[in-house]
Amino acid sequence: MRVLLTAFVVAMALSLVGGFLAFYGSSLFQETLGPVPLPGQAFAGGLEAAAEGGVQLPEGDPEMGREAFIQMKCLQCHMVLGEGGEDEGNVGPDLSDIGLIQTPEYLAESIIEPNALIVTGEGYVGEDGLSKMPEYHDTITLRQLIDIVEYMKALQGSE
Amino acid sequence: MKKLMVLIILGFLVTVSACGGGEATPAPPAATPATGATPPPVSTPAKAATPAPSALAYTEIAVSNGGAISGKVQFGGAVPAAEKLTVTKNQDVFGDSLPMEKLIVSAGGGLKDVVVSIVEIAEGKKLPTGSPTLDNNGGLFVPPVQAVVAGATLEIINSDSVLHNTHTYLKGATVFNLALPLEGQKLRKTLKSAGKTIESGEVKVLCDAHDWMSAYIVVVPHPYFAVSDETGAFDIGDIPPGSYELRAWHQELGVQTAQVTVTAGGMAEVSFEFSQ
Repeated sequence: MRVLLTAFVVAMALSLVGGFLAFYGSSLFQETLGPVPLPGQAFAGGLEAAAEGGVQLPEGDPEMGREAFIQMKCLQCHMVLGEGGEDEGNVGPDLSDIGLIQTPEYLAESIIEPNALIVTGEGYVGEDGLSKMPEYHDTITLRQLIDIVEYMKALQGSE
Repeated sequence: MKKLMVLIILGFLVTVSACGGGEATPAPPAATPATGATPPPVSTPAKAATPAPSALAYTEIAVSNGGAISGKVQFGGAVPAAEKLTVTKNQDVFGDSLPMEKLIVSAGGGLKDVVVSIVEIAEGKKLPTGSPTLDNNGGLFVPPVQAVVAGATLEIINSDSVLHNTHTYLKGATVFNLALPLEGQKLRKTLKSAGKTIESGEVKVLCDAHDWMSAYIVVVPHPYFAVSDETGAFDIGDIPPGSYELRAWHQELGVQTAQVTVTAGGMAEVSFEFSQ
């Protein structure tokens, strides 16, 4: 019974994000997103286009998002409101006000496919011009992705 | 349990699509604009357990009268002093310096980490099975140099408590760039370029999070390769008798080749000398 109930809840959530999942060949909610096609090709503008088509990420939990943000060690390369990004000449951009600058769909896309749209700041790209930021699709679950995006939406430049 | 859930969920999605909820249904992979990308594996319920050695132009045969190539790689000139890498990040975990592993010469002048391989061989012994590993361990890639057969599935490990990313390049172009934020994390990955198995070449590995880290994975389209050990020694066995060109590659000191004749049951000795 519990299995059925869980499955139903997961299925409902899945159907909500079906449009999003379409780009990823239907990875499951609690599993890591798994392999995606070639860097920088398959998803260029994919989620942005999806957003224009009226598909949106479901609402996440910003606190769980912050937890996942820390667990995924985003702060090792990105500074958020004075915290983290301890690297000399930060590998990634400061995210303190990212919620004001970017759409949730862009943020989600950047986490799983950093090369879809590349920020060409100093030191942010490797020798071939592609992002230094690694892909998280083998590591992150869809739940974590949605929550991290919710957390990042709230990053608007002040505590 | 998991399988049951997957079935139920898939069933649910099929129902949704049958009822006309098309928008919320995962589109077939054909809808993605990818050029020649492999279709998502989810459509095939039984994942192939054995990584198919793809279209390798190599045939496994029984080698009963094989010979061997054995030899040593020497470093010409004075033994260079061991260099250190400066740790610029996560010093609390890695300390202030780590050993530089790009040029390792033994007291006797043996050169480590030279990949020696037969240039062309169409058939011979079985391909190695199992997954070669690349461990992010103590702020270094372990091993710093390895050779793998084309199509092998690499197991990439993070043994450290900090985030590493394993960023691989072939001829200056990214092959993959994986995040490994979790201690003990293991990811399996096959080296592919533009959707095709990389048949040969030196794949450079960097960690953008720790700019001192680097490694090489040399891909060979057959199983006749070896990496020189601490004393510079290497050994390749079970080679069908014949004449071969042997290639020796070192990341800093370049490439050398040698002609060698392997006889049935014999041992051909070859030595290389690299200098700066």
